[in-house]
Amino acid sequence: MKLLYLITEFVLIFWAITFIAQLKINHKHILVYALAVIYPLLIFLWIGQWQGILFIIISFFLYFYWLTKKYLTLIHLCFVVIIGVISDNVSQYAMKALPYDFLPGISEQYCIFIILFIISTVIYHLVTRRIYIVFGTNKSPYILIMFIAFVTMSTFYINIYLTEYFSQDSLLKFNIITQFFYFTIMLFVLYFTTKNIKKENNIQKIQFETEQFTDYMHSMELINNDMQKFRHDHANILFTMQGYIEIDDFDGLKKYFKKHIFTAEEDTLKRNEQLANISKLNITGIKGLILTKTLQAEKEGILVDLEIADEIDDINMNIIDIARILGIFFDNAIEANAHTDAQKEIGIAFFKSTADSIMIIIENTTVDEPVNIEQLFTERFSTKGANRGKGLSTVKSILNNYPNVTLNTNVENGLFTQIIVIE
Amino acid sequence: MKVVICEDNPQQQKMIHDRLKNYAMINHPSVEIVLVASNAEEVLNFLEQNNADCYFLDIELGAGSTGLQLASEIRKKDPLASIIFVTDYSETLKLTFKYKIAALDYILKRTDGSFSDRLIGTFESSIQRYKQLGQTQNFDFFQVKMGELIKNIPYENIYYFETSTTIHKIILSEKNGIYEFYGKLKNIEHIHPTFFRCHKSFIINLQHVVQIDKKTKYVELVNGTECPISVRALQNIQMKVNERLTNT
Repeated sequence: MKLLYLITEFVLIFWAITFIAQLKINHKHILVYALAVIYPLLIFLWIGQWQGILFIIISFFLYFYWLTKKYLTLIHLCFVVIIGVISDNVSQYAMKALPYDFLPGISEQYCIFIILFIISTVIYHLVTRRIYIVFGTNKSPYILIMFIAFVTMSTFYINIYLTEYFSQDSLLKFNIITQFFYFTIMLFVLYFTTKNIKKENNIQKIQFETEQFTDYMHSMELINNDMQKFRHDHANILFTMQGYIEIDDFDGLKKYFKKHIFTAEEDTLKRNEQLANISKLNITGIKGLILTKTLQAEKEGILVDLEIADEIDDINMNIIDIARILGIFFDNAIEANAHTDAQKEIGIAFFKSTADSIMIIIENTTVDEPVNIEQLFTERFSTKGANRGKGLSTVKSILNNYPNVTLNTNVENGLFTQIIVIE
Repeated sequence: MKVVICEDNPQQQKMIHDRLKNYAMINHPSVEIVLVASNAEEVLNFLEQNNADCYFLDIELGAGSTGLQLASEIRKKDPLASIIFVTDYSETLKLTFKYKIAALDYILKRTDGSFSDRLIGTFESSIQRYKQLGQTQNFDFFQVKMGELIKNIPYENIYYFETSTTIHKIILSEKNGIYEFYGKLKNIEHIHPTFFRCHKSFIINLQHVVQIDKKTKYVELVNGTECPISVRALQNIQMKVNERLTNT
């Protein structure tokens, strides 16, 4: 009877691996499998349980590696064995809980075991099918997973079979060794995870910068279009001027010059200045943002003054965080001027203070009555009703992570000013 | 008061110099123009041996340092001097002047009389400022530094001080704004009797107390903020508030 159970188990394991790894099997493979497991089986029966288990595991590993030449199969094997151990335990427990006895011996337990094992194997296959594809040819995750799976499997086995052979004293020793071993593994896994998180953060940052850079390019294109239009206008202007000159209408020319050329030139000059200014800000992530928001504000009829007095190469903050904060401030500044025909202005300045910290100032005109500043920073409050002021509480929670950054907010004489000091 | 002028255009230099000199001679004989320079270098050399209280600086100085860089150097040496920028055209760095240099003012160069008027107007206010600096008055102000700009906040406008969640930072909440700076509540607690340490991390202005809830141990201020009260402060907060009311 016992022999039958064992053979069932071997068949199940063989099936599970071939099913999960989607292997094609011929007679030769089955024959080798049968041979490979027979002699450990003998050891298992004649010499003792744990030696048998040891040999079975070793022969399993060798056999399946020979069969597929893939580490992935070995990972599957570890998991199958783990599933087997768990299913076995659960079925044993289920037997105790269910007092029915309609088959000889412990056959009911075996039935439960087989069903559980098959279901778990199928689930494992369905869940991991897509995961392993993602790894591709990258070796390190395979090694990591195999390592963890193998250790877990060993621990399970040791747990089941070896503890009963140990005396109290050696059990203690054994515990210490397993604990130490597991702790080391935990550190190992932790190291890998943090390394991966770091990598991911880096990728996120690069992604963000690329996005911003695309924005920047887009803004530049828009500006370039403007310039093209201006050049086109230029030709027209010259023609018109020629017309005035030809008929000697100098008064008309004077008026025309003042009205059209002077203002147009001034606008273009100003824009050029600002563009020249922005080249001093050597942080791509923010550059795009500022240019995009500036254009957005100008579209709404708001005058934007960009001051960058010093070369800014590095800001002692995560670029994504500072960009989020500036984005929120900019949006608020634009919004504060949305419903008015009065003079609309946004000023933004970057410079290094005498103490060599970087200061960023955003100042905007505002038509709002003197507001309670404190409430602006609490969630969901805005002078424009619900849902709009959410930004400032976000700013606050971001800045809570930066002991080197201070934020000053001031509303006076129709001007709303945010001052960020980054040390 | 000692005045320095730095302007690279000889005509404008002469014009500014003449205007200021004439005005000072008639109205403030003690004001003296100690240097008329045409580049930053000259000013810095002069400052190695001497000092001045008021500077008129052109932003566009041709070769060498700009007026802004010069002003930055002057500020490092003298945080109190009046700095006035004179600039050619609309390229004003309004916010930078204000916060980086704490410039007293900036004047756009114009060909009409407005330039001259502005020049004298600013000159006069710098003289007034100089006089004020001379008198050591003890105002009821709390000073917050933002860049080089020093903001004087009247005590009566302050609602409360709070320690920030990040170490060593203090948040100051007043009528017109919220400011953060590095410091310790311990050093603020006793600057004026109107302030009361009601909690480990709060100093409130007793003037602005609206309501004290002894059950929930919170004190409500005029602006709607609720600050916690420590058990120890609970015993005498009412008394302190009353005291404050009778005093004012």
